[in-house]
Amino acid sequence: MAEATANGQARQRPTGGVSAETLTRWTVNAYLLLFFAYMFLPLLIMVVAAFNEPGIPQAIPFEGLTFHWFEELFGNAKIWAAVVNSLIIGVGVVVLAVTFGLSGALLLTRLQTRGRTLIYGVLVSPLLTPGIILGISTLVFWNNLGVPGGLFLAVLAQATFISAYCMLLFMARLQRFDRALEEAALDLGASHQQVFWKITLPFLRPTIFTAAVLAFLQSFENFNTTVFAIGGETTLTIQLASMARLSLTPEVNALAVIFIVITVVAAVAFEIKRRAEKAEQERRIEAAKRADAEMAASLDATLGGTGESLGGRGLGPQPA
Amino acid sequence: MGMDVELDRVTMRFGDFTAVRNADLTIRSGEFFSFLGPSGCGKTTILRMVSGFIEPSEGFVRIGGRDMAGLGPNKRPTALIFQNLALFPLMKVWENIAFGLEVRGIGKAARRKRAEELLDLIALTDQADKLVTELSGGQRQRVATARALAVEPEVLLLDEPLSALDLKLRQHMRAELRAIQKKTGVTFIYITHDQGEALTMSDRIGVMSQGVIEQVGAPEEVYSRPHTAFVATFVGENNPFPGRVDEAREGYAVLETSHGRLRAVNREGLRAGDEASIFVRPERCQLLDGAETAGSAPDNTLLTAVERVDLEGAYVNLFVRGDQGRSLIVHLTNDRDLTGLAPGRQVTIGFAADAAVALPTPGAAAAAA
Amino acid sequence: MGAVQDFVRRYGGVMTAYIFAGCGIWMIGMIVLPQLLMLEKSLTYSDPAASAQVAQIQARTDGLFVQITRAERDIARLQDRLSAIEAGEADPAAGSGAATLLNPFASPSQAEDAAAATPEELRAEIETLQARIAEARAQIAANDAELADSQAAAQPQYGLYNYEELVENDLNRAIFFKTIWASVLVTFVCLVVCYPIAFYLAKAAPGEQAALLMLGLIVPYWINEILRTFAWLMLLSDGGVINDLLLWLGVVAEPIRWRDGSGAVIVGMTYAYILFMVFPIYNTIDTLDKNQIEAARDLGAPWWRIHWRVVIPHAKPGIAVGCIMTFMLAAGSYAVPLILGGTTSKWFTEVIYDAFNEGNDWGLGSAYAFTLLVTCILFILAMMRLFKVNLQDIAK
Repeated sequence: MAEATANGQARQRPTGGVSAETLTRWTVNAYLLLFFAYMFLPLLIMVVAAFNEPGIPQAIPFEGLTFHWFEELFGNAKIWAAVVNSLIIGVGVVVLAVTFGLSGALLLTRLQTRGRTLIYGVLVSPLLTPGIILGISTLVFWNNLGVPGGLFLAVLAQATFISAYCMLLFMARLQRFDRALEEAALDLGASHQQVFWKITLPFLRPTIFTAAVLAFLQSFENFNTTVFAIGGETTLTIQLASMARLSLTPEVNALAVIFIVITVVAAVAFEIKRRAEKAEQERRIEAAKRADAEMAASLDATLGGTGESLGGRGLGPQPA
Repeated sequence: MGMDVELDRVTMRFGDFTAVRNADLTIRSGEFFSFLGPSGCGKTTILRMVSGFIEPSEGFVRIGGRDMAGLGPNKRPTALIFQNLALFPLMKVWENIAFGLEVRGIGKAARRKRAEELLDLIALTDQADKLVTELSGGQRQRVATARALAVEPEVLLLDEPLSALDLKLRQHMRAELRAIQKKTGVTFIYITHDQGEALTMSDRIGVMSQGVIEQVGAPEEVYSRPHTAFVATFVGENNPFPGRVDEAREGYAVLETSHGRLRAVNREGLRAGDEASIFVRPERCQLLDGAETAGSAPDNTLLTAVERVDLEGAYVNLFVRGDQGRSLIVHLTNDRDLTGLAPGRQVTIGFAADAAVALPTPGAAAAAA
Repeated sequence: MGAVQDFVRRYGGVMTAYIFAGCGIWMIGMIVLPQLLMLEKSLTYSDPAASAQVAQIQARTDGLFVQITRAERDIARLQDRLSAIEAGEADPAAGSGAATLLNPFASPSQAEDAAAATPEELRAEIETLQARIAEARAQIAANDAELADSQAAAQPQYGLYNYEELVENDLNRAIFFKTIWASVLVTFVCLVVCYPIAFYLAKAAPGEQAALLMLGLIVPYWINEILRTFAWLMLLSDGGVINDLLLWLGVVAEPIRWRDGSGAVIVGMTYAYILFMVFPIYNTIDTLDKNQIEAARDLGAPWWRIHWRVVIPHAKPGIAVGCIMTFMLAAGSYAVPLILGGTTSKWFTEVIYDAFNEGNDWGLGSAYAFTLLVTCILFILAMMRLFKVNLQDIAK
C-alpha cells in the first residue's frame, strides 16, 4: 500500500542502508503524525484549560483539576438566553431549508430546459458567497421593508445558503431515484399526492433527516451571517465569540468542551449507523443472490416442465 | 375478459422527431399482442401512449371503445410492467402487490388477503414479508406481474420485462406469462426487440421500424410471408439478393441480381423495372450435388465458393460467396458428411421460387410513389 | 410553459405549486432581490457636508422666526399703551400687573422702560421693532433660497461615490488588498498541506486506518470556527502556551507578540479552513481508478509524473472547489480576525462591519460588501478557467 503514496520516489533512488520502502513509510507516517497533531493539539490545549484552576484560560502550568468553570457556565443566564435564541433560529432554519432545498432539488432534477443551468447557478451561489454578504444583503433588503435585524432575519439569512446545502443532498439522493417508481405508482392508480407521500417521500426520508440535522448544525454554528442579521439579539455562537475575544474566564473553554463532546459523540454515532446500514444492504444482496441460485437449481431440476408449475395452480376468477 | 385497444391514426412527435407515425390498428380483447422492433423504433412510445404517460400528437387511443384523451395513467384500465420492474424497494413483497389496492382505499386485511392469493398464483406463497431487494431476478419478475394484476386491469402492458433475466430463466418466464394470460384473459400488449419472445408468446405481432408499423400478423405469417424488406430481415435470418425486376407475371417476379436471374413469389405487386430484393431463408436453401434431374432441380441455382462452416450442433451454418455477390448463409441439417466442404471449394446452391419472396426496396418504393 | 405542464402532469397541481413557489421565494426573494438591493444601496449616497448645512440653515431660520414672534408681541403691547396714553387716561402701567401676569414671557425690563416713555418714544420703538422684523423676514427668504440648494445637494442620489471612497481611502484600500493576498496565501498553504493527506486517505491508507483518519478529520470539521480560532488564541496570546514554552526554555526573554501584524490571523485561518480543502480533493481522488496509477507506475513513470499527469488532472474539480471554498471563507471571515487579530491586523470584513455598525453608513458598507462579493466571483471565474471546470463540477 505504501508504495502508492505521494512519496513513492524513494524506490527510484539508492539509499544507503535503509530500504526505499521503509523510508517512504517513515516519511508518510511522520507527515500524518504532524498533520493530526496540528489538528488536535490546539483543541487538546483548549480542553485542558477548561479543567484548570486559574481564572484566565490557561493550559500550562496545570494548577489543579476543577469543574468550577462548568458551574459558572451553567449559572450564566446570558448563555442560556443565547442558547434559547440559537435553538429557535435552528428550528426555523431547518423548516425553511428543508422546504426550499427539497423544492429546488425536485425542480432541478426534473427540469430539462435551457434555463436549468441558470437556476442551478443562482441556487448554489449562496454557497460560494461569503457569509457576511448574505447577512448584509438580507439586512438591507428587509430594512427597506421596515423589518429590523433580529431572530427573523437571522433565520432568513442563514436559510439562504443552508437551503443550498440541503438541495445538494436531496439532488444526490434523487439522482439515485428511479423515476419509473413514480410512474409505476401512478399507473397502479395512485393520485399525484399519493405518489409523493407513499413513494417519493419515503425514499427521501433518510435524506430529510440528514438534511435537517445538517441544517441545524450549520445554523447553530453560524457566525458570519448571523452577526449582521441578528440586530440587538444574541446567539450562542455570538456569545461565544465575544467571550473568546475577551477571554476573561475559562467558561468559554468549558463551553468548548461541551461542543467537542457533542461533536465526537455525533460523529461516532453517525459512523456506526453508516456501517450498520452497509452491513444490512450486503445481507440483502446476499439473500437475493442465494434466491437466484436456488431458482436456477430448481429450474434445472424441472427443465422441460416450464410453465406447468403455474398452469396447474388455481388462478381465482377475476372478480369483476 | 380484457378490453380491446384501438390505435386510430396515432402519431407522436417530440419536437422535430416523429417517434410514431400514423399507427392504425386494433388489438383484440384477450389477445396476446407483441410489438417487435429494434430499440428506438417507437414501440415504447406506443406503450406509453396507451398507458397514459404521454398524449398522442394526433389521433386517438381507445380502450374498450372509450376515448382515453385527457385521462392520466392512474385513470386508465391498464397496468404496466416496467422494463426494470420498478418494484418499490422500501416495501415488503405483499405491500408491493397490494399497493394498487392501498391507493384505492381498501382495508389492510382485505389487501393482505388479495396479496396472498396472488402470491399463491405466482408460487411465492411464503415470501410475503420479505423485502423485494431480497428476491431473485425471477421472483421479482413474478412480483411485478402480480402487482400489475392486483388492480384487475383490462389491459396489461409489458415493456421488455424479461430483458434483465438470463436465457434459461427467460425461456421459463415466457411460458409462465403465457399461462397467466391464458388464465386471466386479460389483453396483453408486449414490447420486445427479441423476435424469439414475440414469435413464441404472441397471438399476433406488430413489427415496427422507425415509427412505422410495417406489418401486423400471426407469428408464422410474419415469419413466412413478410410484406417489407425490413420485416424479412428483422424477423429471422434471410439472404437478400438486391436487383431490378425484369419480368413480373402470374404471381412471380424475375429479378436481375449480381447472382444472375432469380425467380421468387411476388405478392407486393412489383412491376418490371422496379428496384427490389429477393429474400430466401437459410433453411430453405439447398446444397446441390449435381445429381438433380431437370425436373427436380430448383428454380434458382447459384455457383458459389465455400467460405467457412460453423457447427451449431443440430445444424450447420454454411457460408458461401458468389463471384461478385456477398456472403450467403445456408442451414444444413447435421446428418451428412461435411468433410468435403473445405473453404474455397465450388458448390452449387439452389432454392425454389416458392421458397423465396420478392419485396420492393424501401427507398425506391417511396420514390416511385 | 411546457416545463410547468410537465410538472403538473408528473406531480399534480399541489406539488407543482409547492415546487415553483418554494424555488421562486428562495431564488427571487432570498437571493436575487437582496443582492440587487444591496447593490442599489451601494450606489446611493448623500453628501454629509450638505446634510450638515441643511440642518444649520434650518436652525438659523427657526431662530429668526422666534425673534419675529417676540418682536410682534412687543409691538402689540407698545401699541396698547400708546393708544391708552393718547386717550388721555392715566398711565395704566401701575395697573398692568395683570397683563404681565397673563403674559409671563413679557420682559419686565421692557415694561419698565415703556412705563417711563412718552408717546414719541413709544412710536420710535415700534418703528425700530418693525424694521427688525422686516430684516428678519428678508433673512429668512435668503435662507430659504440657500436651503433649497443645500437640500438638493443633500438629496440621496445614485453615483459611484461609495466606491470612490474605497479607492481614495488609503487605509481601507490597503486593508482590502492585504485581505486578498492573505486569503490567497491561506488558500495556497492549505492546498499544499492537504493534497498529500487527501491522496493518502483516498488511495493509500488501508481500509480501517482510512476510516479512523476520516473520523479524525470529521470531528474538527464540525467544531465551531470560533472555538478553533480560540484554540489558537490560547497558543498565540502573549501569555499563551507557545510563549510560556519559549520563556521556560529560555529561548526568549520577553513574550513574542505574535498577534501584531497579520501573521496570527493567517495561521488561525489556515487552521480554521484547512478541512474545506481536504474533503473536496479527497472526494475526487477517491473516484480515481487505482489501476490508472498502477498502470502509470508500470510504464515506468516516476512518482511526481504520476501525480502531475494522472492524479492531479483527475482531481481538478476537487482542487478548484477546495480553493474556491477556502478563499471565500478566508476573505469573508469575520470571526477569525475578530478573535485572533491585534490592533494592527484589521481585516476587510471588519471594515465592512464598522461601516454598518459604527459609521452607520449603509451605502458605504454595501459598497464594500459588494466589492468583496465581486472579488470572490472573480476568484471563482479564475479558478474555473485555471482548472477548466464548470459550475456543475463545482457544486457536487
